[in-house]
Amino acid sequence: MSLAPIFDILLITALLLVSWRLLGNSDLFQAAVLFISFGLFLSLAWVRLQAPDIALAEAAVGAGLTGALLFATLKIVEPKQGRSKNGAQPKSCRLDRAAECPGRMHYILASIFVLGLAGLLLTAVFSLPDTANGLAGLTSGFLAQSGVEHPVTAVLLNFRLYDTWLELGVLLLALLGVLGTRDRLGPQNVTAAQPPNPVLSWLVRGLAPFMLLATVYLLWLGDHAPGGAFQAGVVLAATLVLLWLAGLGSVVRMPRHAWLFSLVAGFSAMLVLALCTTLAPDAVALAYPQSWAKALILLLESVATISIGVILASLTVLVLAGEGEANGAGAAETDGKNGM
Amino acid sequence: MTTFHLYSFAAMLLAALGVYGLITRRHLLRKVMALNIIAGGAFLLLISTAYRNQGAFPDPVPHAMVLTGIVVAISATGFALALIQRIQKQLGQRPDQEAGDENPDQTETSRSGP
Amino acid sequence: MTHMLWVVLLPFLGALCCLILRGRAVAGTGILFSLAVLAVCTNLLPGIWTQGQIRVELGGWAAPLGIGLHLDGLGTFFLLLTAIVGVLVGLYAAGFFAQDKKHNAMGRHFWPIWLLLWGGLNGVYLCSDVFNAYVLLEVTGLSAVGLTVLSKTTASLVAGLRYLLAAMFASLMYLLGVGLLYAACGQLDFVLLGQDMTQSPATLTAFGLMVFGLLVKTALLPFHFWLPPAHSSAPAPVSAILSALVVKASFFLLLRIWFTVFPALTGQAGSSPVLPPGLFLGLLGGLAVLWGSLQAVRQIRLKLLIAYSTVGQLGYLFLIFALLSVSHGAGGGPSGATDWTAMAWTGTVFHVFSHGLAKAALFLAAGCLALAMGTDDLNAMRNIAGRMPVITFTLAMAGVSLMGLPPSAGFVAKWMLLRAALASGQWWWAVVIILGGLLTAAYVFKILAYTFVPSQDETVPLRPVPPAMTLTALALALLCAVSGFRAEEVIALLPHGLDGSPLSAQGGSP
Repeated sequence: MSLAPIFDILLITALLLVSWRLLGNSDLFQAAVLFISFGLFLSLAWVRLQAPDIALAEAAVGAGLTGALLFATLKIVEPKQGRSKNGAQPKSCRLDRAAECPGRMHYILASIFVLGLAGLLLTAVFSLPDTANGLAGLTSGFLAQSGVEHPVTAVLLNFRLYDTWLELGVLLLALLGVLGTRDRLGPQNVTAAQPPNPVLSWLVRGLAPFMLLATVYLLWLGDHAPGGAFQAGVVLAATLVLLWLAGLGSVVRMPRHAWLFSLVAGFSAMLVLALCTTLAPDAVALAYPQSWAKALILLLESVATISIGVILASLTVLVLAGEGEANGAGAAETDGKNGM
Repeated sequence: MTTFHLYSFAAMLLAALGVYGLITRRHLLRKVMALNIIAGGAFLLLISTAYRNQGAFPDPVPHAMVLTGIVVAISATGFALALIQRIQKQLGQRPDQEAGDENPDQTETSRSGP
Repeated sequence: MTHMLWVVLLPFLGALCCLILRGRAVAGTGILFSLAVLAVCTNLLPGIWTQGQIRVELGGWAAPLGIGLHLDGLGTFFLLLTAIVGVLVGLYAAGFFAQDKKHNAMGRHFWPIWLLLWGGLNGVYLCSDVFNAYVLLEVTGLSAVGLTVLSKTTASLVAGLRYLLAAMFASLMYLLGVGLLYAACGQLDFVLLGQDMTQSPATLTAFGLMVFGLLVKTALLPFHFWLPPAHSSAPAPVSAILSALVVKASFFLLLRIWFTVFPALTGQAGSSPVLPPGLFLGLLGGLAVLWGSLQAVRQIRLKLLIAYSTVGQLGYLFLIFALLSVSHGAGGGPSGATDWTAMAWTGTVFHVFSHGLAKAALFLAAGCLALAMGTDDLNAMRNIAGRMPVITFTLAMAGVSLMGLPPSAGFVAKWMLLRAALASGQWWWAVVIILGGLLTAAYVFKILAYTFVPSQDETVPLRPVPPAMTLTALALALLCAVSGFRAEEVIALLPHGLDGSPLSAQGGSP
């Protein structure tokens, strides 16, 4: 019991130190490593604050997927020779408004602004009441009518279903945006930069069934315990990415139609629910029929899991493969002077 | 100092640190990381305030909000990184563009840390 | 009566259809769905007219637990503007993306993303929940960036990335505010939050963060840095959408946050803060009017000029915060006050409307010119007036509305703002409005002057522009001029639920 505060302080110190270092570190590679550890410390914090759902998601996404995406981009943007002094070939890419580096004034102004912001934020937090339960009471009161037993799932899939629907739209948009910049209609036939490692292939072959099992288990768990569509979807995405890395098919070998349908399945399932409930004369928009709630939520969750998994996997595969050999010729020709 | 206060202070410091990083760091990848740190701060604030209901279970609404937020964060991060790759590729093809700008990370870090 | 969720459902459905279909069917489907959305929006109008405002609880869960949708006169205006511009830009896009193979490829990505964006925008105008607003901001932000980078030129990619980083930062600031607000108040619904808003460090900071985030998204002066490159380097129909519609969505949310969620902090509910925050916003808005217009005058690329003009014209929108903060701060509201409060509201809404139409017309016309000439450099526009009279006429009509000359919607907007400023005794805003108008005239005449320059050398051949593109641009400009005559209807529609009068959200059981 008395150990808890010590743990808290250590964890918080670690979080702040890691983020400080990753912003200040000279080496981007180290910064990316620190970023992954930042995600891991954050998921420890989620466990400590009784948020196991988020710990699962954070460990998979914050540390896993984001880390992989960062490393892949780093490899493309800052290849080793790019750090030499006469970096004529690959430029480090940045968003410079003015060509000159920020002067001392820039740093001083930024410090003043941020110190002010920090002061404001800390005062605000300090003024918050020590105990408050927000909507917890209301949520648990109506939990029985929601069709599921886990309150977070009830909020996501029933009370605030609209948000979850839009969130699937955001995921879809990110993928569409990436495809738009790649002159592609899908991740079909994208290959990894390196040929698959035989040991990895062998390992993934053994691991994949278990990961798929974990997906289903997490999905089923969401009904009454931490878990659910998003966590399951992320595990599915990780499985698909690993399969791709091992040269074993995955999203890049899906037929275009199957890929497209699994992409939009989650979003359109909720769209269909919204359509039906809006069209039906005596139904309330986006409300489940009382007796079907449990079954429909499970159905929506399964479909959403597939969508989340396929979208995240496609996104990761596209970013991991980089721009290089995707289709260099096609991309080069679009680099015209004038896109009006 | 309750657990709630401890973590929400940390959350606010993280957010402020992220903002500082976003303003002062010039490398695009680091800007993306800084944004993710701000997001971490915002999420930590939500979860620590949910923890104040020290009854049966924490308030599930912020938990749902953070799960949504994590999805949004990974989507935007993935998109940003894909854009960075594409820009890098197109600048690499025409090295005459933005010449005089070939000081990758040294200038940035020769100045003070965050 | 039509359910208001349709305005979100239909564009999303259209986006899915466009994603699955291939070839020429994509544009046709997109236009079909655009027309359907316009029909639904007009269909909502009578209900709003008679009832003032409509509220729907999604999923049958009442407000604190579930998410409500809330439509009033203000939201209907934005919905209609989006629908009108959306349909016309859609028609234009059908021609624009049929130019050649490269544009065809862009068009395939354009339609699904644009329809998702449209659904997101409509969602914003129905929104009544601070967290739902965050998700919608992300939907609109990501899709706007996705559209910006469609042309894949280096300039547009860099602009798009800067836009994305600014948008991510803005929505994270907003999310921090939402976190604080929820921690302090324990609920998320606009109306419920507004009812028991109190002043505390937490709510004040939340207010500041949310407003800050939305200001970055709306590109108010010091935070406008991402706008000109993004709006000028995108393909023409996208520029029109970004300038006419997307920035208006975050402005709409700002109005909601300001007047519905935080009436107690912004001096709307009787209490008068020492330094009204609205004054600060008005000041930035005034500076934006002058600085943005000045920058526009200096540009020599047509699209960049129009983009800077957006920075300037957006500034006018923020005058309302200053005008109204004094109105209520001056105590109790004498009978005359409501009169010019309504004027300020009408002026602002009319400005949103007229700027949306005029700016879309300008960008579409600029797209036609760029297609014909192969560049949007003003110096290349030799004798354009003689060779492309319709486009020149469109530029002139839209310019007249931006300047605020009669007959146009822009005239009504600026006239109302001017009268509100004078009637409330804040003559200095009138000076800003007039100066801004003069600067606007300067850059509009600059464009027109270039179109009339006679060509010295042998005329460079112009590429043919599909008539659909020219005509939609013209239609927008004409619509802008004609809607200047319909001010009474706007005024009749507006007062409902505008002055923060909360609507009773039925609490408790689902």
